[in-house]
Amino acid sequence: MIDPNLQAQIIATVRKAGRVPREVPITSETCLVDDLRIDSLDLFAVLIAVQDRFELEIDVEDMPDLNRIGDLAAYVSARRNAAAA
Amino acid sequence: MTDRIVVVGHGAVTCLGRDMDATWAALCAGRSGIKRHATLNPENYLVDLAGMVEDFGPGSPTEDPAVSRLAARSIHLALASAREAWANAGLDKLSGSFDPDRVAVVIGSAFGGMDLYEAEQIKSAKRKSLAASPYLVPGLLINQMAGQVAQALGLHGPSVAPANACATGAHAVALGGMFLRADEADLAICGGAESAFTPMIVNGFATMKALVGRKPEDRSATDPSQASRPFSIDRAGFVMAEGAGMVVLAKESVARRLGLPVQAILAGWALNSDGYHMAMPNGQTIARCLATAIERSGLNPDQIDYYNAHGTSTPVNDRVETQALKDVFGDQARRLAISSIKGAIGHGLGAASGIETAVCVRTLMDQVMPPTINYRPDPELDLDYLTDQARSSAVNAVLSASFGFGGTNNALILTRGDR
Repeated sequence: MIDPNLQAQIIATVRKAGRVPREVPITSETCLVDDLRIDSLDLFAVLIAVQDRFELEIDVEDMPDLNRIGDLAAYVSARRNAAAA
Repeated sequence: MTDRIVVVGHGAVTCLGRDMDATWAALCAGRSGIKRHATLNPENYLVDLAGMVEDFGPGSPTEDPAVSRLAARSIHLALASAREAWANAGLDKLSGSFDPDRVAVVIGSAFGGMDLYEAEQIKSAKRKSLAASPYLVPGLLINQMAGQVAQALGLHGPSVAPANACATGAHAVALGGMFLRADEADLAICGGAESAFTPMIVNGFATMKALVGRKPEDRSATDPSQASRPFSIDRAGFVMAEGAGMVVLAKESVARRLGLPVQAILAGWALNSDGYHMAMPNGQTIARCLATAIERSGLNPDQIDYYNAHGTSTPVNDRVETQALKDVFGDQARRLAISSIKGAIGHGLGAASGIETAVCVRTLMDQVMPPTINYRPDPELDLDYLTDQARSSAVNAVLSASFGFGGTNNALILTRGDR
């Protein structure tokens, strides 16, 4: 179960870095590329913003798996837990 | 008869105003845009005096969405100034009447996106990965200003980005003139843009002793608006500024066919190199540059009414420039009306001479010469620096000069558009 606060923070980060208009809904099922139409450059900008916001490193080889908001939230959560362990 | 090269539009964004009208009104009123800025904090900056365009650019409510991904301020300044100059020419309403493949874009800068570079470097140092923003490289490139202007205005002619320190904007105007004369283009949008308020660049200029420093006895200690004082006996360095200035050039035949306003004639130009020193000016080559531009314009020195000076407010530049004027104009030098707008808006580096070219166009249109503010007499510099207030007088021909570190010089001759 992903912390709703964490998911809200990720959505806010994606919205800002991906320049997603306020009226476009974003949920855990929303796909960054297919639904939000974030292009390849902006996708990098979004992932760097997530790195900066949560002070973690996203491995380049993990990027293809980070399609949906839920994927990103789970990834950040797992990284944080690993760091805390 | 050869097709003359005319100016059909102009625009500027400066610390005195977001557009040419606001800048011009403040210049002629003798106001200064120089302030102390809290963003230039003493922890990171050796100097906090600056001419900044406040509440503008990336992250501000007025950010231009066309370049929102490119956070280099110079790109935003260039685009605002270019849009203004383009509209001032009436070209925004003439799409389809001219061939966009025949419009050149010549816009340069001394430092380009170094503000973005340094900001990204600070962020990157805190990261756990080596990632850099995908918009760093496109925003850092000096030619991205020309690229974004071409994209926003739908232009497809030659695109060039001169980088010639403080002569950049005027070099862009001359290069635009060359494109038109060589029949590589019918129209050219030309100028410079700059925003270089990074710790490395500000502190680099400060340690060169190029800037007015923090001295309790300096006039700027009690009144920041007196920091930049070209040709004044107590001049103590320049004040860094940001901004942009552009003109739109046209072949006269094209301007007449399209019904564009002929605001001025670009009657001549000259570029040369000192071949002398990394930063010190050379009066002899500067004088040759000025004389060559006058000769190429077909005018005599006694026909130049106004000289828009490089006038940085450094002890060396203003002395060398004054001597060069005496060498070129001889007895006529004391008749010449001279002013430096850097007293009011500071030194916009690569943007400065683009702004000054736009100011010269407005001088010819309005028949008003802006003053040199903050002046106190220097017995060694004994010419007419227009030190009291703006002067309304017949101005038929203007000489505008710019000199850049690296020993690069430029002189432009502009004459009245209604002659």
